[in-house]
Amino acid sequence: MSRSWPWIAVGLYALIALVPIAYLGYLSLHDAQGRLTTAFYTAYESSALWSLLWKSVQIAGGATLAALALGAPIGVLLGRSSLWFKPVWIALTVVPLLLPPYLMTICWFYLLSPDGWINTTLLAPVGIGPIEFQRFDGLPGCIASLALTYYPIVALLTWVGVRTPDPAFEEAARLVRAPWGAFRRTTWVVARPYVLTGAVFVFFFSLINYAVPYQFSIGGILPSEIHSQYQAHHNHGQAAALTVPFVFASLVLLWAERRTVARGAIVRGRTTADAPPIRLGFAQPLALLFAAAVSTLAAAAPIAVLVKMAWPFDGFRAALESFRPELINTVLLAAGAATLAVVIAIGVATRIARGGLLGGTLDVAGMLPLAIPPMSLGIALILVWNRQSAFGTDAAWIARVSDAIYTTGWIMLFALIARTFPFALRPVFYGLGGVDPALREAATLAGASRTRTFLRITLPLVWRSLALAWFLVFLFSVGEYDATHLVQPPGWAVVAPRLIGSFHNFRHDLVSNNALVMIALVVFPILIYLLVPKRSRRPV
Amino acid sequence: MNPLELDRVTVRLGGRTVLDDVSLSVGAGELLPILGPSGCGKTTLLRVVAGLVRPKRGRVTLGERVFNDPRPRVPAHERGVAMVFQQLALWPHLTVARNLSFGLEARKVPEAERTTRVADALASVDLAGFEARRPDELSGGERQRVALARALVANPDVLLLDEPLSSVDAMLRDELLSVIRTVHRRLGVTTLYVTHDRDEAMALGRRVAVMTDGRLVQVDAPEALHRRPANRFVARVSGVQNVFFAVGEDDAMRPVPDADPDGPAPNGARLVAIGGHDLELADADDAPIEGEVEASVFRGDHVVVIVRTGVLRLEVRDAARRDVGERIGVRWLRPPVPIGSDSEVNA
Repeated sequence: MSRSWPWIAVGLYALIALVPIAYLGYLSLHDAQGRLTTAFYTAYESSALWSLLWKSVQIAGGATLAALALGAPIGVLLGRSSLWFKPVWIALTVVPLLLPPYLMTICWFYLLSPDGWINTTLLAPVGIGPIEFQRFDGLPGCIASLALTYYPIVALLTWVGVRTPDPAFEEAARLVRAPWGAFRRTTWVVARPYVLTGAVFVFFFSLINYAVPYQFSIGGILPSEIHSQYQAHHNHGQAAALTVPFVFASLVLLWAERRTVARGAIVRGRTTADAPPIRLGFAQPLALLFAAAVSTLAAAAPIAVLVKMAWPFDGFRAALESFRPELINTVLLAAGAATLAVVIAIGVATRIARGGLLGGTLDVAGMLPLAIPPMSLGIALILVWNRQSAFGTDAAWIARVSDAIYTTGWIMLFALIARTFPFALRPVFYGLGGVDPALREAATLAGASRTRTFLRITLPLVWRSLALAWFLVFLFSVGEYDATHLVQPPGWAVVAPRLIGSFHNFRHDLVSNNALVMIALVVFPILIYLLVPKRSRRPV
Repeated sequence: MNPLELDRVTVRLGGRTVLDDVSLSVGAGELLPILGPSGCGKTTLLRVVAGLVRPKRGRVTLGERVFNDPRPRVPAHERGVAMVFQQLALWPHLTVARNLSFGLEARKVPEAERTTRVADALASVDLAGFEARRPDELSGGERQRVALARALVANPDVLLLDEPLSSVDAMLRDELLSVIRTVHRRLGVTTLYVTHDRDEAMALGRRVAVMTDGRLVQVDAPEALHRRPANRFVARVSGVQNVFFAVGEDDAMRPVPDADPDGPAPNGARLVAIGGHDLELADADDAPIEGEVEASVFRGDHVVVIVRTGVLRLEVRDAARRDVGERIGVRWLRPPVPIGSDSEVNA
């Protein structure tokens, strides 16, 4: 890596994500004539806004509690108990992360609607029903849908948390307490911040989600209000003022992440051995039943209903053909965004690692997009790159640059990178930080240039972290809806908006077949990753 | 080979002075151990020479070449300096051969010559035939040798060894010390060897540099460090166990038994040091110092008898154990030498 790349990368990230976010801040403090004003913030004095906020918090809080109820026990069972068939449950716990939240919702509509699979296939043959699952509709359905999508975040962080402490801590406690008591007093104490972090992430991801409440026709929440201020009222300042508080939410997420990472660094003393699992004994069937129920609700049933809807795949070719441009665009844009995001993240992470005021600022700035509603990011990108807004139309070259970005796939790439950059930055940052600086210094003393040292020494050691970063960006980009449906220019339509549109047009054949293709798209990189032989990369 | 000179080098890191006005001359082809406790600045000194740390003040030269003045004049990769890192820093994803040839490739050495030099370097550390192995397939001792071979393969002008034996057991350490001595004798490369282990330092160098708190305290032959330590710190780090306040001169010198050696000097007394081997036990009535045996510690070929007199604890080398509580006398075979306080420097 050249000496200048960190600076170039910081500049690119600023251009793609920070400038639009900053522009939202500017818009929220200026009226249509460009005069300084705080008028848009007077909305926070109105009870209407607080009722929006209350409804949003109800959804996010409900989803968080439900995700905790499902995810924390699953994480403990997978991480520390003698639960049978663990690899199966671990795989099934990851599956919901491959489904965008709106797809989980669609699957459950298929399962629970009056003519859905449960009524027609499970209940009708035994003479029951049809049952009207009206209660699933509305707020409870929205909460359940978000919880089933996001509970793996809590489960996986709990799993990591309970495996983090040195096994000797718990073993020492086992000499004076029963196994679960020892676990509760030692390992669980260390794992709690991980669980809390998972809960914080679920809360904010639910809070900023637009697509799922939209599918349940739930209005009167913050993201939908931002959308309506922008789209219906063309009140950009108000839309921006509603977004700005989410910047502070990003700081909460950063705090939560640091809390877990810092704790982990302190307690992680073990090298290879795991603590012996705690025997479930007579509780084994109950635990199996719980794991099976959660996995069925969040993974097996949604996938199964898609397969059932598509079966026997006689319409597969036609469905695929119908979605061909969207599928191609989605793969190209997701892969492009993932590659660019990782390359930029390498530079930004390198600059963060050098510390100082700029390093610390970038560390926070790198997390900013995480808690900002993607809807707002989309709006900000439109306002910045639509040449009639942010830059004006005086200079011809600005108009040309704006056009080259705003009317092409670049605006989609910008939206995807701005939206997913934190998912690239964190693995890259921790991956690069995990390389002993002495390895690079040894290469320098051996006469290698910076680029050679990066390509020959650093890159082979951190490629798994980079692959993880690439995959996360790819995963979230493939399913992204909230930002991309706003910014997509002609000729750059992607799968997610088309999928939701097809669902509302009752083209369930298109939805089921292409949803399965979408899932296959994100499973494919995982298979490649798993097939690459593993060799030791540990420092010796 | 050229002499290495550090002239009044000062390094500040994180607001702390890590090296404080350090001046040091290392002769061409000399192997100079630098002895000191953890955190005293030994590794920083090596990193300054390597070009990995930039000094705030001072000058580093190798013969006529000015490395720093204090601005870096020669970048790290052009100094002809090789280093064996404390944690070895072998590249885990490369084979032994690739670990060695990495630097040669960067310097565009032709492949045939690379192969020969890698084979020669491995042979010099008794690892011929290990080319295709990876670091995680080697034992601890083999990794140490690979790290040494990697440093040597570039034919460096200066070799820096940063506590290379800190993580190996005693038996392996003796074996590796022998390898280092042999390689140094054969190649004659100017070498700085950082260690906190007294035995390693004394075994390797004709001179030893003692460091503490970022300063060089004494640079002298091992025997001189032992016989004439500059101050209390050097006495302790070089294995002179007995430091106390005494009055009188030569054979008439007597310890002040109630004076704490770490406290202020009593009137007319001065701080002196003497090794346990320069003391002998005698009958209590027939010796200038009388005390009580506190412990006898078996040390293989001898026993260390600890005699308490007042607040002093004297360690005396003897042939046999003594009973705890036994009244006994101590006398010196040669008079203790006066030493300075810890703030006095004799480098």
